[in-house]
Amino acid sequence: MIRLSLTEVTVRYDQRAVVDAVSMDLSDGEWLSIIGPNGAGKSTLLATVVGLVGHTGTVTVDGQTTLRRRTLARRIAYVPQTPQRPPGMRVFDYVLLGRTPHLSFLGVESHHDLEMTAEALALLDLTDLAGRDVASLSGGEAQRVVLARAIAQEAPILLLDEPTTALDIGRQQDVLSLIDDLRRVRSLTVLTTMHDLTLAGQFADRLVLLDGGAVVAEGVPTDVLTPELIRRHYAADVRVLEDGDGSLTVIPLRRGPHRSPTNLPE
Amino acid sequence: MIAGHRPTRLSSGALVIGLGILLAAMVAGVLIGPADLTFTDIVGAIGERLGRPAAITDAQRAILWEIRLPRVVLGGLVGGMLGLAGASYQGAFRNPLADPYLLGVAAGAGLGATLVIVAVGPVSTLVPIAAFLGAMAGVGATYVLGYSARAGRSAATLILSGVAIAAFLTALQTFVQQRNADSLRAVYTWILGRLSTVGWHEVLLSLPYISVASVVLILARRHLDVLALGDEEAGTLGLKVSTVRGVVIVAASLGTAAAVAVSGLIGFVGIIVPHTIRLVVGTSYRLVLPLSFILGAAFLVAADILARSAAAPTELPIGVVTAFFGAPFFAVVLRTSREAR
Repeated sequence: MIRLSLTEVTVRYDQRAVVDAVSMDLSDGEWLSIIGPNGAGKSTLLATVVGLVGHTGTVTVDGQTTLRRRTLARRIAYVPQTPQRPPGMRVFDYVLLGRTPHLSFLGVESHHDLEMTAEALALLDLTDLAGRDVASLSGGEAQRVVLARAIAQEAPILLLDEPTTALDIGRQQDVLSLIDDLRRVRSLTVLTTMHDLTLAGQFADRLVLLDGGAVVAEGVPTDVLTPELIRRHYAADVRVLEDGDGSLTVIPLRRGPHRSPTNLPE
Repeated sequence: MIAGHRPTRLSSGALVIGLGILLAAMVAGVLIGPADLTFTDIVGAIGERLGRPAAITDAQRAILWEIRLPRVVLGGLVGGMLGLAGASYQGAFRNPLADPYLLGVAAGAGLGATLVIVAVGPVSTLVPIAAFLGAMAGVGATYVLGYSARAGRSAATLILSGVAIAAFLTALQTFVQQRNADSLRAVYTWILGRLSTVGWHEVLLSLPYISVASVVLILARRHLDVLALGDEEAGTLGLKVSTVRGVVIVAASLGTAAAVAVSGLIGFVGIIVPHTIRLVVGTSYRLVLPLSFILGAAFLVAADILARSAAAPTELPIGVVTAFFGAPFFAVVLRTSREAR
């Protein structure tokens, strides 16, 4: 079953196409990761899906193309690259904000909403932090709290913009494993953007390589993470190692002096 | 439930303390004044209204019901409205420096009041109406300018429009004021703010607007917490950001216009009351909005007692009192709070 479908989606800033006729489908339960160099349009594409950016073309969610804001928020939970953490707001209250799309304009949270919040906190092992100020959390804790808010939202589709930004290597693995677990436990469909190609290849079922706003390659990681494609679109020299189990490791190589992009005097 | 496993809500304890402070301020406001009126007299006068005879004079009765009580009630309404409007503006614009006079309310009211004082004199029935109309015209002009801006409908554009409109209206007001030196004193007195009343007239004039505005703002408290995440994240949680911001700004402006119309330009309440509450009890608008009304009311009633009695028999402008005592108090709260938020 197709959960999320993009058809010829184009975003223009002034005359320049930042996202250029992108089409893609996400099946139920799939993890698709968008990769590509800086400025490729990855984050803009995610923002377009949740209606933050005006676009042409169609975004179809569960077969429907025109969804009101609140209905869309019940289908898609979106975690931006740097979520706001308002100083003074407690973790419990922050996660409770995930229930917003389930409340009417003048409604207040019911017992059920509080239970869903407590459950999301427990699922992400945050129960002990419930009373803390969100602004005082470490990077790893904050990322878990933001995920808890997305889980409390109870949306079947999870959009994550660079979920491992500013995390150390251990926390990166923690967060991505956690997302993978949540995907299985809650049968979520996941769409992420990612910088780290090795992690993208290890966790996503499918990759879409974006360059200049357009899709230039897509498929399973072994099809997309090739030294040729990476050289062409990232202007990077890499070696790709394949393990016996099919998982890939992308290793950057040190460039020779003749390949340096600058022309420093000798 | 486990500690911390409950949403932040206004506890009955905090509400009782807040209302207790307000009640104490109001009782003090009724007791203190040049004519002697004791607590027993007040209890007697209230009992008399309930059909129980009491030994109080006609003069005492008139001082209580027609002079002191209307003034205390008006102080409560105006102070509550300014505190609540300040907190609401700060939430709607996500800006701690936002105050109720941000969008041209004060400048518009000042111009309206000045025009009437210059043309017909300080007539107590006309000045509030002119000030109210001027305030609404000021906010209206800010809105029209802000939403016609090419830069787009952002909160920042609206604030900048408010700055432009306020500067323009203040220039007009100053011009009219300087050309009419004979009414300079009356205009100046109005601008500095005061709570002198003619019976219940001012209370009845402002009560409908302040009630409606306050109810709407208190109902929006949950939405302001969502808005703390910024326009984009709030939008992806299903909040209609521009609708919420529009409703909050219109309600806060309407209430502020009504408050300013009957009291002049009383500064500082809308800034220090909400921030003091944030520093003491937390930043959730579920706490900040209702407590800003209750404690804003208590603060202005207390400030009015000082304005009336500090230099008796002359009255100090209440705007001077709110700033003179409010600023040092706020500085102390800021220094002693665990963390600056």
